[in-house]
Amino acid sequence: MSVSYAGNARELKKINRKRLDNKWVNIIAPIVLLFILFALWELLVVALKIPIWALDKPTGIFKELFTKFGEILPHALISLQTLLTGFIIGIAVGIILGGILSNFPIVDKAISPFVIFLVCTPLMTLVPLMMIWLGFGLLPKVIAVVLQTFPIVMMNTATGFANVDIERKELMLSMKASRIATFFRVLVPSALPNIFTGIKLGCIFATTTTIAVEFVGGNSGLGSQIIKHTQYMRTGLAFACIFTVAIISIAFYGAVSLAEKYAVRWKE
Amino acid sequence: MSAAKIKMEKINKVFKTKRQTIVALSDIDIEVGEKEFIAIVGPSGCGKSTIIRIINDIIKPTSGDIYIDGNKFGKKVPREVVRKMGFIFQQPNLLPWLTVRGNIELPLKVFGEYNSASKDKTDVLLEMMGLKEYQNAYPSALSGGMTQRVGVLRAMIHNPEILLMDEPFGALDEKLREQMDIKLLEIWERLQQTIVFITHNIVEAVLLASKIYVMNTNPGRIVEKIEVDFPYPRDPEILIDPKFIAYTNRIVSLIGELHLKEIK
Repeated sequence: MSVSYAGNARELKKINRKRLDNKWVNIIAPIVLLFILFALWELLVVALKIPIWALDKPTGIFKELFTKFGEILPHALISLQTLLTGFIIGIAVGIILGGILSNFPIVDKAISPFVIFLVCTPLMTLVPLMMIWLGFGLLPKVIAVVLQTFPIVMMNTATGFANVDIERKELMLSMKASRIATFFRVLVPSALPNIFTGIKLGCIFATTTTIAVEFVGGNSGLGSQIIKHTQYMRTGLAFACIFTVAIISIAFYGAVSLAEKYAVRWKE
Repeated sequence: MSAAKIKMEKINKVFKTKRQTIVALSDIDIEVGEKEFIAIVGPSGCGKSTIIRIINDIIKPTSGDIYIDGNKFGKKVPREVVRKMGFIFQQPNLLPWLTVRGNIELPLKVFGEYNSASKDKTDVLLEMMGLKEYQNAYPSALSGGMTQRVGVLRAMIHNPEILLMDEPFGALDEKLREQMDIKLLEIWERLQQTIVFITHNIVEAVLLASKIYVMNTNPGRIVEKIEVDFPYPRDPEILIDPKFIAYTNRIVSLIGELHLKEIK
């Protein structure tokens, strides 16, 4: 028996080494591709003599990003504030509602159509109205982000709770575990991978909504700056803002993915 | 007659769906003595797994009575009685987010009985099953045989008086299953629980049990009760004893007949 265990260990090591190799490839390959794409862009702009007001070169955009950083930063911070506040409230509401829905079918039946309505309706259209009602501050923007974020989190959470193995429920029944113990010891960890899928999607929804809301109204935040600079033909600066949005959203998504990796580390 | 540890009297279980009514169990009478090791064999779908789920109060019977330690229970077995039992699942059914140790200690945590002495108790069990060095591993890193041993330990951590085993070694290959059977006999001779063992493996049933209920399908019912007359501790050599072969042939003939009926 011990021989086969040693064999298993060796096999495992081999697999791990393979994984490590893959890890480096995973990091390096996209970076190389990014540089190639930027180089192509740069070349095309120069070769086709595209005017700077139509499309700037990547080097030009990065120059704008660094020289005008002082101008971009306050708007980036405002966007970040809207994004994070809306996202955190959104996932909290989504997870709690998802948990309630899957444990109380009646609530599920009552709420579901409205949630679909929320997901399908472009709420952007309501933002100007909300600004009339609530002013141009953080509140209407956060509300919009929450409304766009929570349904997707809620749906994934509910799916996670609904798909818990019957055998796991039987295990808790065989111990006559209380509802609370079953919820926290089995249902929540079982649903966690789905909850994280929801959070990751929510993270994308929250970012796009934040920028879109700033597009629609107000004069602060990166979205408003992109619109403004585009209208004044300052394409380089507009792109610098777009890059900032991209950096924020990638960092944000990366942070959520890392949290996921830690929380469901048993899955490997 | 001495009082039975577990007794089922005229247990019926009917599952109703929109289209049809399935009689899963029909008039099941079972008696298990204190510290007795019994087996229930039968083809798949005969309801043998449902029986131990009813004893464990995972599934409610449609009608009939259950007696445990002489106390009569109808549809509901109270918590403190259920917690005298340990349930071992067909798939080990370990929680993948808990380590080996975490899985074994789960019942104590659920019961609110986890204390400073619990750790030592787990250590003893881990040692007994040769799992000590894997205590901090997650189930995904273990082999099938190892996960099932963890499943057995989890059902034993709270010193249950009754072990309910639902084809626990069915997924293992034959050699490993035989090793586990012998290990189980050793443990049972030492700890003296009452065991109800579900299996579709006839040899396994005769090797382990002192009494075998043979079941049939449609509706799920008991067709024969066989007393296995081999003393404990049992040696694997009884496998080639003519008496052993006679027992298995008797059951094969019963289950064989069942299969023919099923085809018609």
